[in-house]
Amino acid sequence: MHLSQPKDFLSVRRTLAAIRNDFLYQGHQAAEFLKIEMVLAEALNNIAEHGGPSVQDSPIVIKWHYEQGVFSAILEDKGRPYPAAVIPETGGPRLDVADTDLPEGGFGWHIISQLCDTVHYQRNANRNQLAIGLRT
Amino acid sequence: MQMSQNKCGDIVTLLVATERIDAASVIAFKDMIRAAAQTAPPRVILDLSMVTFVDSSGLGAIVNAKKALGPDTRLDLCTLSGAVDKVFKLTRMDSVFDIYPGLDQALSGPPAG
Repeated sequence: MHLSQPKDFLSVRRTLAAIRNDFLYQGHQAAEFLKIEMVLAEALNNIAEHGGPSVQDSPIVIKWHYEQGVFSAILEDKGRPYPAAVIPETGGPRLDVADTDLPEGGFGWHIISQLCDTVHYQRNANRNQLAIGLRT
Repeated sequence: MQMSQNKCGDIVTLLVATERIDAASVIAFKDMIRAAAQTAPPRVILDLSMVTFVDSSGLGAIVNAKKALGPDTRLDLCTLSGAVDKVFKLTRMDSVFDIYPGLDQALSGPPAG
């Protein structure tokens, strides 16, 4: 369980470090945290970047569980609703373009969907809830 | 964000001496790339041996670096490991850059064509 104040991306770093510490203190290996950190970084960055002002006033609540190689987490925040295309169906931004047109963004959800076995988003009242599951 | 720059003949090597190229550090990263771009070298090798984490923002910043260096400068990468290697593979960005296992290989392996 972790509370985060995502006022900026430095807060996201601190949150990731805190979760990593808890993870290691529970006796798990750093290598098992690799995919977890990648997914949490993208999800938290997304909230910090797109959540709007209400994200500043109330914390993101992260509940996570790890057992026998299966990581699951629920991230709740009171920011703006996630944009409509939360789980992309394509293979991420297109790269078969001229160098000057190469994408510099749009990778985050692709990374999440590639690494996670389950991704579920729902909006309840004024809260976003993102549930993810992955095997390390 | 710390970066150290070296020249090996015509080749400029940039060692990113920071563990994370992420949302919190991309602005500083871009500033440093912009400074390195001023000498307009024909080839730049970005050495990521000290970097343990690159998120999607960091990936975008590395793409931005390629654009900032311009069409007359080749940007190659070396020494990707762990999460850094994984993020390039997941996004297929390993098809956009020439990626070498180490700086020696990058320096001795001239770009093909």
